[in-house]
Amino acid sequence: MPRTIVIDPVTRLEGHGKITLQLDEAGVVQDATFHVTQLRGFEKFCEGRPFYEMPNITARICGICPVSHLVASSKACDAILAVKIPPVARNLRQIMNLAQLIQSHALSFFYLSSPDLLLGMDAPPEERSILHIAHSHPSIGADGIGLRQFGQRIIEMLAGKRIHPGWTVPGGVNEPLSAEKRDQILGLIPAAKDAIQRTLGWFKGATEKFSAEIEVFANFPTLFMGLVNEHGLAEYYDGALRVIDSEGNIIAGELNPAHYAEFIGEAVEPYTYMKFPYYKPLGYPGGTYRVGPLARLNLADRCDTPLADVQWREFRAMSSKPVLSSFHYHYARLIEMLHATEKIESLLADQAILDKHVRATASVNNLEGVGVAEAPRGTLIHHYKVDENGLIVWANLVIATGHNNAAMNRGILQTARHYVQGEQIAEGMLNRVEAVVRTFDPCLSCSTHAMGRMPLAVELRAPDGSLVREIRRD
Amino acid sequence: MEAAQPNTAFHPALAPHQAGRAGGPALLLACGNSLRRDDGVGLKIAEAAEHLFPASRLRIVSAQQFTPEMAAELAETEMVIFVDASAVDEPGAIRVVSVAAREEAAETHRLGPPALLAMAQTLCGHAPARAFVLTIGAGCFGYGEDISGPLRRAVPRALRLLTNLVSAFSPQA
Repeated sequence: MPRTIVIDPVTRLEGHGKITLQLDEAGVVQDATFHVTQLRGFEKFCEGRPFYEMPNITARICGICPVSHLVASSKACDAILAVKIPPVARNLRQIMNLAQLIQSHALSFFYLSSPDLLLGMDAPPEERSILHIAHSHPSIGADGIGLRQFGQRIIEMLAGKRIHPGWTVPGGVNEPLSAEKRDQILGLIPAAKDAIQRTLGWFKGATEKFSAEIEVFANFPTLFMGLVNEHGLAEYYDGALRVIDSEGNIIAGELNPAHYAEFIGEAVEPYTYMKFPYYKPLGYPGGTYRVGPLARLNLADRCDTPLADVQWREFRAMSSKPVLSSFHYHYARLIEMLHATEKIESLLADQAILDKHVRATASVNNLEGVGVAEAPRGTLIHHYKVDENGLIVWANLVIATGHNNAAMNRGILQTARHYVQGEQIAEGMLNRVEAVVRTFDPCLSCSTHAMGRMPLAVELRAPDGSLVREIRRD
Repeated sequence: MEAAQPNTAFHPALAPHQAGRAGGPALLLACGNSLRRDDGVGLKIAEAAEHLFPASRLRIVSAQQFTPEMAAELAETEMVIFVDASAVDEPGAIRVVSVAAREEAAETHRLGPPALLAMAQTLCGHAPARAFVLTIGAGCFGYGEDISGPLRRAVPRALRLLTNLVSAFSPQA
């Protein structure tokens, strides 16, 4: 008989969500949906606030990636001020953004996904946590907490605190970097590089155990989108948006991120609070794209830091076209950690990083501002409109995780169809359905933003699954 | 399964520029939510403690909760003081107890001092020789940034206790 399997909550990811699987009479998965069950409302309750409060307000969207919101929000405020921030401020914001990427990727890889990668997808659920890994694989556990602390410590040294720091402000940052702190950060880098390369070593050896998962973990053609600089390199702070297809063709090479609304649409579905961004020229859902580490490594022409470039070439050698399996988000995440560490080192090597002029000041000069940056999970967009007094009258946040929503839903269906079958549903089957979501490293608390009235559908179903009655509000 | 050997190959505290664990400052680890009134008393104590000692004597880390990566912080010191609100004691009641490393069932969002100390020993090869938990009984957990009257009156006493603990700690050269 038809039945529904609900995975609630989805574990080892940030935020709250559940997965619903619809099985037919033969026990074959017919449909799968990913429901994000949180509603935050930042875009509404920010209305009326002074624009310069937005970095600190929006940082509170998340405790894992607050720096991403600080950076994107500050850039939107820079646009409202119509200032070009001092070069050293741009570089300091970059360093903090890259440090955030390191600690966030470390959380995703070691804390959330390494239990599956080290113990296997069928390991007992009570063992699948970083606390167990600390006992079963102490050196890997030490590298994990060490790398997370490495990223957090850089943020703390720059900004005074590791979570929700207030140092990034409209116009720049509010304090220059001292030589002492610069040297402390530089002193941490060699060990961090070693830890990441150790991790790449064991991870690459471990992936051969997951050939089946690699085949079906959101492994399908989509577009990919992300920021690149003028040389076609992955860019995390500025740059233009590039969109490629699954063959590697650049279908949009230099999109101005400030004009995102011209080429990014946002669909809504009644079963989730997370929106579904899509590439407008191809419509929804044909314009589904992926963002984040996998996309960024697919988009880039090469990597401009030496150690990461070696790893990046090896990564891209897996396919003559873009790497499509979302399992390889894990791999891409490690390469990005290495690249970010090297990039921080090169930015700190410039003596100008100690310059004292770190902020440009102005009043409201534009009534609208857009700030875009690459967060750990992908492209993040903050868009504000203000009145003449600088009070927010409208805000829209297009969140990194949201860009991947359509791909996550398709990935869940693909994985579930492969693994969830028959009458006896083993826990490992369902863990794999969760694990495909984990490859995207979603930040669900960040991602749930809705405009206006929420669509709502209420379905009354009979025990056999047939629809008895439906009430909809579109 | 990997042999249970602690690894100190990567540890930010062991970077070349550091003086080394033996001469390092004491550590104050405070947790709480500054927007839930009395729950934030640990953070207020941490904030006040910044003015009591130089960073070379007392390193202060404040966060909303104790998390696994703090094990790396613990491995850098010979003395740690955990500071938090207590929901079981009378408002304003101060308790200082020594605590030892202990393996316990824990969640990544709810790591207690004993589990953190155990992680520091297991992963980093070192846990502080002296570890204390300083708690203040709390009663108001509503929304707001102010702490209630009994806790306001208790904070100076807590700071004196903290000062005594840190003053008695002499890092070995």
